[in-house]
Amino acid sequence: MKKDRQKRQLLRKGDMLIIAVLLAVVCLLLLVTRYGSRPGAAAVVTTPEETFSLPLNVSQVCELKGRGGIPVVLEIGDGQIRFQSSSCPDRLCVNSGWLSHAGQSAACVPAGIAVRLIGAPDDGVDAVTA
Amino acid sequence: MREEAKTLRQERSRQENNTARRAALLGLLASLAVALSFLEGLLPALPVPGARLGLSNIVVMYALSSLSLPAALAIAVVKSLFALLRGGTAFLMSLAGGLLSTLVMAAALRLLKGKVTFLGAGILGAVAHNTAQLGVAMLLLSSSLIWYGPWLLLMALAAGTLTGLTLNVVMPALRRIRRDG
Repeated sequence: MKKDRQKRQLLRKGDMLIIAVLLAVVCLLLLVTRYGSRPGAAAVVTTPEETFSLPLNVSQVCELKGRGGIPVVLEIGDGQIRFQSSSCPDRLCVNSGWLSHAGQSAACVPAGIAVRLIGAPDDGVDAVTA
Repeated sequence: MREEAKTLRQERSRQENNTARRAALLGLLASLAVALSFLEGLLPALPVPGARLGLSNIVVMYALSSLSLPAALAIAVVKSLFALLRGGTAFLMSLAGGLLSTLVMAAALRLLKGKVTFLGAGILGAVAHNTAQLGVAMLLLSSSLIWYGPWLLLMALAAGTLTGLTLNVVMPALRRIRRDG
């Protein structure tokens, strides 16, 4: 009877420890990677062939061809960037929406195209305390 | 003498019956895992690219506790073969994630027996799954995907909690059914 009740237990100490450690790691990683909410200054675009950066203060539409010839369109406007359209099957990249802050990123995995925002190199604000 | 032969025969047929049952259960579980991951694909995409609920982890953990580690690994491989339909990258990501998470869950269930339930094992498995997938994606596509890391960990926490809790609730009932049958 006692053994039965032990089996039914939904949560043990070890489970809680795992959850706590994982939450701590996630918080730490988020602090380290996103460093507050600095606005992004440029987008680093990675395609299967090359990596280049686009300034976010210039509004433009950038058409790319990804892996397997998948057409992908990036749109920059108002200091933000998004995947405007993509012919990939899942459209996760388009659903990621507008990116505006340093550290944010989106990727179209089927096309092998990723976008990551970086902050201005010298904005005089400490990355961690911002 | 006849009695002895009879018990021997009975014993043998029971063993065969057991092997057959295990094979049947393995087939059943493998198809269930494939069906679950297919159904999961029909759900709207989660906010983090590549993040999935990992419902088939329920099946893999059940296989770990009621069949064996090789059986659970076989289920992971079968599931990945179906991911092959979505292309080579998806296959490799699914295979890496499936195998690593199965191994990690097996280790967690065995080494931390009594200290963690399926909940903890499920979370560790989901973390292993997402880490392996992210690793493969970074190798094959772009290392900037590392920025998804924290979100994938958070998703793993949620997904592992869901699958683990499901098993914690359902397992006692399943054990009773198997004992009766």
